[in-house]
Amino acid sequence: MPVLKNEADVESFLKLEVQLKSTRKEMAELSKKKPNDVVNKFKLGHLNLMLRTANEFLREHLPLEGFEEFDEAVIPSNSDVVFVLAQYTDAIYRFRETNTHFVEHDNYWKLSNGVAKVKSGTNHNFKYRD
Amino acid sequence: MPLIRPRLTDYHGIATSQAELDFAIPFLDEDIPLHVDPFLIWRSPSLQDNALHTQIVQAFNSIGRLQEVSADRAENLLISISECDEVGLGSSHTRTGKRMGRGKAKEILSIFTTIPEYRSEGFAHFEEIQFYVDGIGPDRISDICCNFVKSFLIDYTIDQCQKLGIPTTVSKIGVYNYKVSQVESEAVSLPYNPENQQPIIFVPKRWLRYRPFINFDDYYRSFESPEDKKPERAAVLSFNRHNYGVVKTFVAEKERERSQCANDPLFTQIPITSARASLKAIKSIPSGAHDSNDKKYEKEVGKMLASLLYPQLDFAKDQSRTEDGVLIRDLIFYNTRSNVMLKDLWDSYGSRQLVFELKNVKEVGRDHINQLNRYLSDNLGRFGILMTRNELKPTMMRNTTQLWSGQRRCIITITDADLELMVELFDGKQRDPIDVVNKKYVEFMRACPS
Repeated sequence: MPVLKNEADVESFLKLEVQLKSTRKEMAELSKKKPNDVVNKFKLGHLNLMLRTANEFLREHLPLEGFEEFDEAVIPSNSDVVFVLAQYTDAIYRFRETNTHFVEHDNYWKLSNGVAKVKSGTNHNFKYRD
Repeated sequence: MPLIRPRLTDYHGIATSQAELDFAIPFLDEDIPLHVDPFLIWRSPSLQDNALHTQIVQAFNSIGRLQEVSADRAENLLISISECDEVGLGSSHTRTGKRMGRGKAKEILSIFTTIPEYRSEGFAHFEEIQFYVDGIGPDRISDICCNFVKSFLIDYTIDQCQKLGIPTTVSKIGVYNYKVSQVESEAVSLPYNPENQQPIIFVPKRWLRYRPFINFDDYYRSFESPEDKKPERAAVLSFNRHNYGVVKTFVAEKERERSQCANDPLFTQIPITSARASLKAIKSIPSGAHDSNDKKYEKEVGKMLASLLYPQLDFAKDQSRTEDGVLIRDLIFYNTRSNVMLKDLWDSYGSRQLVFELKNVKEVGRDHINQLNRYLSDNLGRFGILMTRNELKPTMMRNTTQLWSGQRRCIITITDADLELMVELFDGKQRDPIDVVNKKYVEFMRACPS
């Protein structure tokens, strides 16, 4: 049973995918310079919003067992965040692969409303690259 | 439950940190070690403050004129305004000071008669009296100043009390009435010291300094003597009476330097470099009491912690006690309930003050935990922090969680590694160092049986 219901779901998935990749890139830069520096509450709040949206898509396929979002109290560092984001960007890519299919000449999203007209583009173009 | 070094706000359960308030929070049993500097009121950008300064010098000059009519009245008035116990500023350990003697009052009033410039024009900065009369210190200047603006300070205090919900009671106090140049008794609603029912008046932080900007020590340093060596203090005072021009030049120079005159904060954090240096020193101190290592550890941690936890926690006192023949040192902070954890500690453990007990030991034992536990039952709510070198061993950790299960007492530990993380946060400014205490508290609660 496809997770995505309609075009609106596809839109929110695409938004999340871009956000996750750009955040991972930003955080990787920070982590290279200062891996042990802690992440402030503002960034953590936005990261958690992203992770909650990702969890809604991934459902039972969460990349890290027992982890759903960052706990402000434990003071995560830049490298902690990069580690988690790496798992999530990979999981989101796997989600894209399993929720698209090749029909005739193009890739399309698998939607539960039965409409199969939303093109997804070639999957490997959406893989995260450093 | 007696508070350690109680402040008025903490006594009434008003949890606001000093950094958030406009006035200096008075202690109940001792003075705040700062003074009102009239020069700060003069150089203030606030026109209201400037008007108050004008009122201060005019009131002081009017006493000089009054002595021409009645020397006795002028002396009595000067004596009565020479002390202002209600503001609680200075260095007294009892919140009460002594008024000046008649001889000193005569000496001050004689300035108006012996120096023609003061007789004709009066003072522009009345703190210049330090240059002519011995024994006039920052506390005397401050008290005279406060008495002249007491009417304003009373209104200010009432306003602050209404904002914060501090209880007041009607008290009769002497207020200087500048229209008739005399101190009159007035019944006003003021906060009071619950220990002796004496009225309390608040003073804005922006007026406070350790010593006046125009002060005798600076003057004496810049004093150029015609002889080789500097004369005695008394000789300088006498010289000034005959050389008004020298004082005038010094004061004019101070006025030009007014941009350098700033109020002194009630608490100053140590700089990041000092925090790093202290951390390095702490890590290099071996555990144990050998070679006074425990004292070195306590000194460094004490210096650091007050800064790291500011402004969420106001430092109250470091104190020592002896238990089982062992000297134990701890640091006490006022719980200002400024974040969720601190509110929780107040509500769940009755912690109106937080205790950090310092233990320079390699391994915390059952005795150490019991010592802190016994101490908590006496004074400080049911939450305590052990500052020590290493994490607790599993058996000791179990001991603390059992204390929580059995008696709902919470003892957490902060180690060298946590202190290092606190310094990182202090340096990086991305999170508050107190978040490390929260982290340890959350970890402890998760380790407790649900």
